Amino acid sequence: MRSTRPRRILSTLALAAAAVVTLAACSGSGAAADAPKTKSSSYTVSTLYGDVSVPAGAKRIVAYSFPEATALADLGIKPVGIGTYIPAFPAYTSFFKGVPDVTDSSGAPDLEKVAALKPDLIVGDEFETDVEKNRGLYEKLSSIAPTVMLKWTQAAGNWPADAAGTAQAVGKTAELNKLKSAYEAKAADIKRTYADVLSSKTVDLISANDSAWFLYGDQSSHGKVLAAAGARFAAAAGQKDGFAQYSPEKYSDLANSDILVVSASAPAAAAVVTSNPVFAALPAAQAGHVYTTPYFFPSSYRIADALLDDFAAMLEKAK
Amino acid sequence: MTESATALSERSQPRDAAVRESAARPRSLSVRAAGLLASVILLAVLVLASVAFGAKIIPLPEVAHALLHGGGSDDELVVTGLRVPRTLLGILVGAALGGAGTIIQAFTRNPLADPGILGVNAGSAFAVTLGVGLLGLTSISQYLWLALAGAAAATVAVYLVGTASRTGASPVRMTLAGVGLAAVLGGITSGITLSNPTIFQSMLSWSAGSLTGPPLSTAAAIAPFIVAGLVIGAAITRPLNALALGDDLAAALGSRARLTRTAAVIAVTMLSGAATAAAGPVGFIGLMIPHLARWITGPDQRWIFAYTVVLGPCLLLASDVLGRIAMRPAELPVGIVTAFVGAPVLILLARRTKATAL
Repeated sequence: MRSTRPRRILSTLALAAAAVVTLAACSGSGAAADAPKTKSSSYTVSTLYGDVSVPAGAKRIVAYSFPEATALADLGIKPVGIGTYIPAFPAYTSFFKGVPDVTDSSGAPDLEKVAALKPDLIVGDEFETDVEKNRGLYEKLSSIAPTVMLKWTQAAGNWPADAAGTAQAVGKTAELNKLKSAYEAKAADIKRTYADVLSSKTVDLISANDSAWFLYGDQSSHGKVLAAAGARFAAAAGQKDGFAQYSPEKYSDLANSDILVVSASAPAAAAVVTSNPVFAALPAAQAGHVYTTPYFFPSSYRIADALLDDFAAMLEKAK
Repeated sequence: MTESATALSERSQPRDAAVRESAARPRSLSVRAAGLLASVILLAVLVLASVAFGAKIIPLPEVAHALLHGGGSDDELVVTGLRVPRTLLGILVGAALGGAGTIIQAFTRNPLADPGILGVNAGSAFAVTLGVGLLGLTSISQYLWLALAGAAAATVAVYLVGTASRTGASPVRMTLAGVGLAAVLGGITSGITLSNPTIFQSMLSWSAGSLTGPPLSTAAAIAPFIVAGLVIGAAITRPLNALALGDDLAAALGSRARLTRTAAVIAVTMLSGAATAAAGPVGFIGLMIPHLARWITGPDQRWIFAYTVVLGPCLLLASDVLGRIAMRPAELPVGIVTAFVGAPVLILLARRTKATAL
């Protein structure tokens, strides 16, 4: 696994490492959401390691985790180094083309590669529970350049705060807030336009492999987006964790969901879910209300925006 | 015979000891047959358990109703649509891995050999990775044939290297070639999966070893290979007994070593290749079950083979049921459970009993 982020997503998905579950309770209201104390020459950002002073006008930024890298892309800033994993989103694929990968095979930032890029700012994120474990890494990165380490939570649920912290570090909070307002307006518009469907039909978000499926709640990065657009979850209602893992025998737990959204790069890729006989017998499947989207784990306002478009299209069909 | 005496003689002259032991301790036919019958009964019980228990709790009467009458309720679909196929697959895969383990240990005369030692699993995994990475395949039914082809290609390559000696498929050469090829393919496979998170995710459940995903058609697709492999395996158990005495003695006894070894390689490839293609690389069964069988029957490949074909599915189904109920509402892949169950049992066996000679 060459990237930090998918390693975390996947390993947690795979092993259902319940012990590591950090409730994504701080999303949105996280420390990073504080207003920047702008001085003429530097910005102060709240990070996992306390307040960090970042010189204004950073030009060479290393963003070794994807929520920060995509936030920078949304702000029109091209980092000089990124992690291996960037969400599959066409605009980002072209934007990050040619930007070197600074993470090593274990997913951590490779100090030599980072130093060689001579950055003036390093941004990334880690689990809050790993703060002590990563202190050595943080100190080494800090000796290369001012380092802003933000909080990662399970299933990328903390991305709005990561975006806010990143914007703060580059002094572009106002620009980010424009994207945020546009996103919130679109969510509110969907909530209004499809109020009837949303009030009569429940939604659930799942992904699956051959031997397990995962149910995402409103603390996951994508669950958060759909909830903002007025989605009411059925099976995932009250689920505190970003995701929960289930056996294929338990597809029947989705019997009360009217609309099922499956993570898949293309509709055909959802076959691993739809071919399960128990899933195929679900009311939502029988009614033809199973939809796919490639935009699970959005990490930025732009992907979240695309997910909202997909969700609106689903609601239109499910009317 | 006292254990210490055997241990001493084994240390000095292992091969002789094996011969003497097989002469000195022939378990009587009735004991062996009774043991085999008990194993079959155990398998029947485990088959029922595999249908009855799972991540979803279903009352037994409903399980019985689903089996007898089919039906369309959720619970009945779980039984007929999921548990029955995975149980059938478990029987096939368990028998294949157990049988392949017996053949490979006799073939290499190495008690630590497992079916993967000829590079079969590495070949499968490599082919599946290419299929997922280059062709965008996502489910087991799509890459089943690719996995089988990869297993066959790896064995052919290993065999070509192994037969470069005059004596035919020399076990040592083949083992070295197999381990070498597995290392190379494994390296490339990890390289591809690690650099591409999408492939990594798609391969995750397959590479852990799981009976959950594959539908009934998968079991049907691999059944011919496994049946053929078991028939070949059963046919060569007697010549394998002769080979256990060493090449010279085997030749003196009229055994055709080259033919036997070629047949052994074909059988192992079919068994292990089909099992791995369908369920992923499930460890420990091929390694452990032959030891368990030898411990019960003594060193006669014919009985060992018969036992392993029954005990392999027993361990696999027991592990699968355990994996389903250990982590409700999720499941542990069976490959992980076999390692958890297998390792302590193997240690226990090795400590409690003298490892029975091959």
